[in-house]
Order: sequence, then C-alpha cells, then structure tokens
Amino acid sequence: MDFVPVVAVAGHELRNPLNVFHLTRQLLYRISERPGADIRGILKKLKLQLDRIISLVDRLLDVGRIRSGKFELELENFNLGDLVKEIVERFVDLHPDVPLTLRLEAEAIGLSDRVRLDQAVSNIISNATKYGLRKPIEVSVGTGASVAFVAVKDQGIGLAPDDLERIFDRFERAVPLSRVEGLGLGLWIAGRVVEARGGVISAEGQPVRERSLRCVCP
Amino acid sequence: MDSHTILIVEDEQESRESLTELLELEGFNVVTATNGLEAWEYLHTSHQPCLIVLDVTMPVMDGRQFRQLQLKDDELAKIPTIVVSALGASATADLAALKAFRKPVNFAALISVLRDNCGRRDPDAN
Repeated sequence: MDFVPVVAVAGHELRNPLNVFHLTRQLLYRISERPGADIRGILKKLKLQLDRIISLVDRLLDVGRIRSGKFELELENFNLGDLVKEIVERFVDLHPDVPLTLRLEAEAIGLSDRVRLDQAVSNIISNATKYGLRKPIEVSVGTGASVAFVAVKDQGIGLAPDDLERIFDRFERAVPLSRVEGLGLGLWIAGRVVEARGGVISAEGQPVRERSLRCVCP
Repeated sequence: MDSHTILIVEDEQESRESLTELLELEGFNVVTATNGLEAWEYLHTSHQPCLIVLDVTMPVMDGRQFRQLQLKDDELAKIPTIVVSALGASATADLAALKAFRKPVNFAALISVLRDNCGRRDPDAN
C-alpha cells in the first residue's frame, strides 16, 4: 500500500477514538457540577481513548521502524503468564461485553522484550475481539520443549483456508473494510515481533466457526 | 412513532454509551443497536423512533446495507436518518441521509438537527 492510502486509513481510524474522546469530554463538562457524578469513571474512559490514539500512532511508527530495520528487542526475564494476565485484564476493562477467559497451563518464565510481546499479544487479542462476534474468547499460556506459547481462540467469523497466511500480511483483513475498523497492521506487527525473538506465529480454524492464533517463542 | 426516541446504531460501545448519556441529558429517550441487523430487527418489533443516528463501518450488517434495506421499505424510509461516521461527506453521499456528520461529531450541530426533527422533552420531567 502506498503512503497516501496509509495516511488516509490512519486518519480514518483516529477519528473513532477522537470521537469518543470528544463526546466524553462534553459529558464531563455537562455533569461535572452534578452531585454524585462519576467523574473518575469518565476520566477513565478518556484515558482509554487516549491510549487507543497513542497505540494507533505507535503502530504506524512501527511500520516505519520495521521496514527500515530499526526494530530492536530489549530482552529481560519475566513471567509470560503475569504479562498475559495484565493484558487480558486491560481487554476486559475495554470490552466488558466480550467474554474473555485466561487459562494458565504452565509457568513460563523466560527472556524476551516485555513491551514488544505485550504489543504482539495485545494485537492478537484485539483481532479476536474484532472478528469474534462477541462470543467467548479463550487465551491460554503454556510451555513446550524449550518454548512458551500464547494461543488465542475465538468462535467468531472463523477462517477460510485461503486466509490462514494472508491475515498476517500488512493491510490485509479477512472481511471487507466496511465491516471492521483497524489499520490492518496488528497481526503483521505481531508476526514481526515474534519472529524477531526467533519464534513463529500461525493460525488455524474453520470458516464461520472458530479461529485460533498461536505464537510460540523460545 | 415515538416522538422523542432516537435509535443509535453504532458498534463501538464507548461511542454508543457516551452519545446515549449526552442525548438523555438533553431529554431524549435513546435506544441502541450495535449493527444494522440489530437495528433492522428493532424496527420490526418496536415503536418506530423519531430519528436514526447511523454509523457506517460496523460488523454483521454495515450502515450502507442497513440504509439500502430501510429505503426499500415505504414506512421505515420515512424515518429521518443521520449518518455519523469516520467517512467524509462524499463517501456517504449515496446513503441519502438527512444529514451526515464526520467523527469527531460536532455535538451542538447534531443536537440542533435532533431538536428540529424530534422536539425535546423536558430533561427534568419523568
């Protein structure tokens, strides 16, 4: 995709969190002097929208970093289960209407880039919430032979055989643009992060039934 | 037709909730749908709203598909429909809406259109 369409898509995507921010600010202004008004709740909403805007900008900047080769991992030891638990809690706050559960199959402590892995797993879960049709999503963390994995399974639109690899390409979506928002960059970035750590990302599923995305890292 | 009820069709929960709260503060009754199909089903099972506020990019049935169905139905086509989307005016011109707003929406202008079409209930009255 050329630069101009990228900017157009990004501008379009920024309008949604900006709209919520704008409406919520109006709401704050109107109810701020009312006794018992939930000011903290509204400020929390504003913070979530600001985080969305920052995340969108970061994703665009990441495309440039990855393409120019200026994409380096900062490795540290941490517990993968703890990280994924934090991410799942964030998504539960952001999407209270989506049934999201976490299954920790084994303790996975290892060396990786915590911030980048947070980004990769968040992108995968975000993708599941977009295409999951608000049906239950299961996130699981486990270990294998010298590897740790995170798997995200949803029961939404499913995945056709032709889309198994395509969904990891840049600016690709499994459905028409008019049905779903997003830059089409999330899984591509997740794949680059996992590969930079020597891991692999893969998908399996069946059309109109279920879909499972899995990343495995040393 | 319910003279003060607005139907908001918007998939994004935060947008839906914020707009709902604001419109209720302005004295309107608000009902919501998370996509075109939910809105379509609502219109066939409940009192018709005074006006529809319609997003375009939505899962299951998007705003464009909903509008096509609505315009084919003589009764439902009469319900004034305002488009509020991230798309520009030229990209939504084919929806033949009463008015199209681009996000982030100018709330004062939106309220003005709603009042012109639906009047206003006293916000403090029950």
